[in-house]
Amino acid sequence: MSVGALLPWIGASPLGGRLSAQTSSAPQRLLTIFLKGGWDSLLASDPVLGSKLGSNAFESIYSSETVTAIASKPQLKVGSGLQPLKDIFALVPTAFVNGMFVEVSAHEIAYNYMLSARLSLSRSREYPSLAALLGEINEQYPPHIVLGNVIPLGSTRTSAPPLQASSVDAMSQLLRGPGRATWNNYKPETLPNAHVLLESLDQHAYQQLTKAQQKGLASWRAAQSGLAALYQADLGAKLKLTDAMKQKFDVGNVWELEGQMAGAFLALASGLSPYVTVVPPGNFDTHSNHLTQHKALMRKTATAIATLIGEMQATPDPSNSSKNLLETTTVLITSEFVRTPKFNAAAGTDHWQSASAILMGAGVVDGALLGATGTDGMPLGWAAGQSLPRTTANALLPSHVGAALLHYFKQPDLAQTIAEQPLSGLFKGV
Amino acid sequence: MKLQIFRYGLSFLLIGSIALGLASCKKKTLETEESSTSAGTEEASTIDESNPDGSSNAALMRLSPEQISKTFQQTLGLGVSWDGGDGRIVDGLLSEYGVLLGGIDFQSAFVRDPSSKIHTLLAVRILAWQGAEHVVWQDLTKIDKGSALDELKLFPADFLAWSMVPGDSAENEKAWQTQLERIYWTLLARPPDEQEIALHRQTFLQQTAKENAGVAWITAVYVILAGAEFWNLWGHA
Repeated sequence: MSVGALLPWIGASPLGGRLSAQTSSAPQRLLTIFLKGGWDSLLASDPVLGSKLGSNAFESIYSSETVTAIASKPQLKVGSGLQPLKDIFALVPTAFVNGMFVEVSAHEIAYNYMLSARLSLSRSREYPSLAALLGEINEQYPPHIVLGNVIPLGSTRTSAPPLQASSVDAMSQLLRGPGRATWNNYKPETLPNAHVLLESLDQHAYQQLTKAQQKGLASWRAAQSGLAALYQADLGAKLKLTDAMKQKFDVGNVWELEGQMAGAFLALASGLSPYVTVVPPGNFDTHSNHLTQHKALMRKTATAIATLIGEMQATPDPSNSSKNLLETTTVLITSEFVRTPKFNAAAGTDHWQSASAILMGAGVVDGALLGATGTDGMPLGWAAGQSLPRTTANALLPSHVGAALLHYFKQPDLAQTIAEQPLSGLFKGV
Repeated sequence: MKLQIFRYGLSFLLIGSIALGLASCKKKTLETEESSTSAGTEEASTIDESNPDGSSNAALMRLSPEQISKTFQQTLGLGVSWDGGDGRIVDGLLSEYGVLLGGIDFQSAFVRDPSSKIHTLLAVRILAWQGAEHVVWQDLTKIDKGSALDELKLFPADFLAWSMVPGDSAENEKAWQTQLERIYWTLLARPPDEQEIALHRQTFLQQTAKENAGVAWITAVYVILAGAEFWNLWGHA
């Protein structure tokens, strides 16, 4: 039974207006993995090769870093930080986007920029992330799921807020209801009985209010009306991390990287929502001792992502058992920006006005390499599938990638609000 | 983490006392006329998206996340927030359960959410149960909670909860009802009415028979902490 069928009440809930609705039978799924802090694409999707090897713009040590060509995808080459993912890249549809020009390199602004594909320098103007935009057209509860750090929601904060928690354990607890934690030992009927009393008392109080006061409780009551069905469906049980899953993902603490990746998998596999964003801890903003700190963090992250992708391949889509989860899910991995090609005085790297992304899974043009950085490490322009000196007109921007993704998700109107021209060649049919 | 969440739960008791204490005359505003009672059956639940809580119609003011966190800290001096290391204050409620209690995340308060969401209630219920669990067990087992927390004592020191089942004897009935009234006064600034007492009694007896009086009292406190009245101020007529 689909989650939507279990939760028909959401149609009457205060989730706001809808655009063309995502169908529940075979949804296109989006998993966004945002690596906070700014990762080093020279150790990832944009290694130092060719004419860059002789350039003084790059720290010389990069020339001795391992670079691997992905089997049967000659354009894709990965640096030492992503070695644990090289076999996955070979097996699943994968595309790299390098050299996205980001006008700002302040963390919070760039974080919002990369997730929403729109730039706002204003603290009072926040654009919704792409997942939140898609969540707004999802008629089922929850509109979208966020694990880990908060993401920009913009106006969707009120119209289609996500189900969000710091970890999949906390999310499971929310959905299972109070008194369900492992240390509790209440009788199964204790909480249902309590909720019968709660609703009787609320109804009693409600009936004593004036009509105007009753209107004031409309959204409270609408939200409350579905909770019994939600608890009864025990959807939170689908988010419980089993010992086997913990072992598979090497989870020590659910709040940490491996726990978040396992949580992202459960969130997708449960079918709760097609749109999942995970912002794991692990700060890539390492300003010192770069090749020790940053590379280790990248490898650890790549290992966890490889496990996640492997599990997605081995798991049927919850709404379409003829396909595995990776065949129905587009995976977007990105960060605020990349790192300076030269080391600072602390043998670390700083913020750089360029960003990169890796896309995998459903809809991705396999083996595509789009965008590029030049011999100075800065983004080049991109037009008609070719790199050229960057100008205002031809700069490859996060908005072009975001618009392409929204086009792939059959939302041309939304895409149009982000960029007139989506990046072509990244998604099939776009 | 559990203790931390307990602390959050406990804060709601205090905040509720403070906020609802300010609205202690609310009882006077409850309509008792027959015409008003019948309005309840009309289910005024059609939501006007431009004014989802009818705030222009009713003097409704929900406790904001800022009120909850700030009042909690000021009252108890406990650490529900901490320095995130980048100059921002990390809020404990947000950290555990994300966007809740009005949808403000303390990082990007672009649009204040005027209406309750499912996520709000999911979080409210978790916190309400943990708060109830904490305060009841602490009181019943007479654990010293420290000076600030001692301010909130739902159960008097000589209260014999374990043997107090309503209906067992006239004395127990009276003591049970007095205790229920004490909880209502503390949390809602009013006594329970006859129907509420009857509803509580029925569930209390069920819970005592199936579990024990401690669980029954947790339930009694929980339903108040998770209820609409605790989380919404209904204004004055």
